[in-house]
Amino acid sequence: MNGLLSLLHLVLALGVLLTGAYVCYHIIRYSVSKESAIATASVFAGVLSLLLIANVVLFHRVDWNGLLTVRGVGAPVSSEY
Amino acid sequence: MNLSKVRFPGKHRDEQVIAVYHRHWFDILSHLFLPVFLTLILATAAFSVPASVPEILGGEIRDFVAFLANSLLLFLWLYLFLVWIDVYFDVWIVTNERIVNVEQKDLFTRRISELRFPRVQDVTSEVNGVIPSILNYGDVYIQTAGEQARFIFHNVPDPVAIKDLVMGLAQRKRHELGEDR
Repeated sequence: MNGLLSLLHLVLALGVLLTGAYVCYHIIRYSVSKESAIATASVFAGVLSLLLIANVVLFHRVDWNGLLTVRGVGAPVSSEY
Repeated sequence: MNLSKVRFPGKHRDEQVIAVYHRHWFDILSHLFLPVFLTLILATAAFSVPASVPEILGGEIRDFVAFLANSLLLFLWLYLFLVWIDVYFDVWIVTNERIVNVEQKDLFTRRISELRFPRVQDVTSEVNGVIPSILNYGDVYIQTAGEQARFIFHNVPDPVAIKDLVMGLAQRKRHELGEDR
């Protein structure tokens, strides 16, 4: 389960990275003023990097096994039961 | 903005940029309203929920909620810039030779059209609505002699000033070419 979730998260993170790279390219390539293009792209890329790093850290902090395990009411609590 | 450093596709060597117009800030803001509103809701919830009901955010759930909130912020940040690119990159550049309109249709579609001053026949400005009237923004329509019947500046600030500028430049160009006699 953890492997599948990690793979899904990797695909999402790559999607975010690719979209972010395209947005940066767009800002730098098509902005009418070079100075404002660099400033805007820096702000965008800086915040996006911080959010993405935080996202990876938070993803690995979540106890996915504990979160996704179904615990029914009255379930056995010991192996001898 | 330093007009001598303005760059756009197809700029001629001796071409002088006279003015650059983007959409009015309020028009841009109205397009960004949804992502900004969602970000504010998310930020308010992220700060107020743990403070008011700390017992529901304990242990593994707390980490999961933090991950979820961060993911949402990440997508909102991307969405904000995708929308911003769509509206802010619509630009009208007035030079001493022509008017260039770079129109961002969506992230993958751009249309660049130009209008030379001798082809300008008539210029009309239109401010429509309460907020545009208060903030003084609206459309400028340029009637041309070419295939594209009208050249439109969408939701630009001070449309009357733009109309006067374009009319003045068109008349000057016609005068230079001796077409006004």
